[in-house]
Amino acid sequence: MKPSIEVKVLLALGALALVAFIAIAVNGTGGGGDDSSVSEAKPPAGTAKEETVHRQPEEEKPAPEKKEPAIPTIVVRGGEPVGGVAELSFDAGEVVRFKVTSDVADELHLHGYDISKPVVAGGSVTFEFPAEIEGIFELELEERAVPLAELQVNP
Amino acid sequence: MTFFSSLPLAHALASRQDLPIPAWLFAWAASIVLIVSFFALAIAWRTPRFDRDHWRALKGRGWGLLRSVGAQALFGAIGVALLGAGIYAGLRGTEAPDRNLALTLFFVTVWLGFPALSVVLGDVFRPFNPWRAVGRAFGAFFRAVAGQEPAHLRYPEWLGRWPAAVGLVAFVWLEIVYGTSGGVAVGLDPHTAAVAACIYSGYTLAMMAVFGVEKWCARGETFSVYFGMFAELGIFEVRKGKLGRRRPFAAATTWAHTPGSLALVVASIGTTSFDGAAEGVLKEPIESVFGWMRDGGIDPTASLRLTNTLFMLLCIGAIAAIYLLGVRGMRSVGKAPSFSVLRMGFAHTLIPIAFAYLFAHYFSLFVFLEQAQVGYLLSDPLGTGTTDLFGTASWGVDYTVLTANAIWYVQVGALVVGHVTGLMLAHDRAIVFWGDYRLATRSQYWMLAVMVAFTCFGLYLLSVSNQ
Repeated sequence: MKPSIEVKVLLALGALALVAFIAIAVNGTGGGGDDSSVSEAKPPAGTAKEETVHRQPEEEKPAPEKKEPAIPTIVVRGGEPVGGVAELSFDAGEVVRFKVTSDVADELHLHGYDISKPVVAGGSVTFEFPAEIEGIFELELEERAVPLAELQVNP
Repeated sequence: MTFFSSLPLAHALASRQDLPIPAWLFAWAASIVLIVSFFALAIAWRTPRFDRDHWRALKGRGWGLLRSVGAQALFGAIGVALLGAGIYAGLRGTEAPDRNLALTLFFVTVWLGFPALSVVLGDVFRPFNPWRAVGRAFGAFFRAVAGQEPAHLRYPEWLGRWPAAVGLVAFVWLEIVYGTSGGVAVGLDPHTAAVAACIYSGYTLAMMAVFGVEKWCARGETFSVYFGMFAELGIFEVRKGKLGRRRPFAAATTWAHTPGSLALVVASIGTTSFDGAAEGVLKEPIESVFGWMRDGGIDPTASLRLTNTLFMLLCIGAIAAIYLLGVRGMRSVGKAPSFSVLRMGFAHTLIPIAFAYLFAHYFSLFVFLEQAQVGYLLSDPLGTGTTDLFGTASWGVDYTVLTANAIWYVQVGALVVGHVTGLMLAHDRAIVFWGDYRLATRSQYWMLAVMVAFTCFGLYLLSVSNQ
């Protein structure tokens, strides 16, 4: 049986797509690897994972919080987060550390992880826990229902 | 300044949001879609396979028992009881959306659960449909008292499934657009959901009285028609009072011959797209239009609702336009049937795409919230904190059951499978319409373009959501 011209064209297009796909895939993984080696040296703990190399766009913002002394701090003034909803990004297995200082008394609630801590007016509270659940989670002033930060935990 | 915390309702219910699909996975998935498509067309069959659905009645006593009056009354009673429980919880229970049975029951368990069951098993909603059960009970009562069939108006056939398509948009609108307060999306509250359920019940029972229970279920009752759309792909069907098995997908081929069917499936894809896009691609346009309206002196709440409504309708319009463009293209192939024949003839090929969109967007939400559904919501439906009907009130939601990777692969897998199924259905129809295999294949370059567009758009939405 002789394959029709349509079938040949389709197979050719398929082959073309296959080549393009391999090129993209190889390029994608290679490129990602390069970026990650430049952008960050991981904190000591032996939790490095292969998967993280691909996510370079997010690495830009949270860069400061990788340094040991500077814990990211969210400042609440008048019941609102200064500078809008903060974005915190961690990798699974790391220890999540951040601080909230508030000029109002309320309860700080981190969804998903379901951690609640009361804060007094003018006080500050530090969160410290292992990043065990992957995903995006909201930190909010529970009684005012005001979102303060989005915690992103990457695999 | 952020106006939107996240997908309002999903966000109010589940504490964990999906991470966007990483760029490398997006590239892989899109490439696989292209490759699979071309090879599928090259090796595809040359005679129609889904033209007849080979329905056969199931033999055996158990199947007959399922269709008995007692069983039907029981299923109907379960449906009515659940609807009643949802409404009661919404009206009397807590206003905390995640602690009240109403929202999770209506918008997650039923709204997402039935499409998933239907797509495999067929129309499983029908026996549990609470309004159908009430309508049939009322009909039986009428016949017993009056000694004759209730008289109904003839349903205007040109209206087709349009009432259901409008109902679908209204339902999703209520879910993701309506719940705003002072220009901030806060999500729907249980009380409003319960009131809406009461209004819808009244409307449905009235329409059933006017046009007849079965007629309204087949054409106008939003949930029957919407779940029934997915059920067209499933394998069980009741015909002439007998439960039987049929070939999967085959029943769907004539589904779209009723007016309004295309609108229904397009609305399904469009509204899901809007839900995904509102947080990603469309976030900035929505914020600017909202700001522009609010600065123009319109009340903030109205501005936000208006903006979101506008963009939701735009999404539906865009999906329709892509599909119609594909149909237009097919029309240009030699010996093509008319535009309207093609438009209705291929609409059912979008059902798998619609299901894939639903599955990809709400899979994790469903897995998390069903834990709440069978746990604390079952035992403490009002969220009072003092009730414990079945001893499960203290159960929580384990958000670690799915890793981010698991969610990504399920999402991509759903879109690819939906894509291939859609292509398969379209190819099969093309052979029927053109008769000639070569012309049919040529016409399918257009449908292929449409499907690739939908699938890659779906992947794209997942890759930028929540950022």
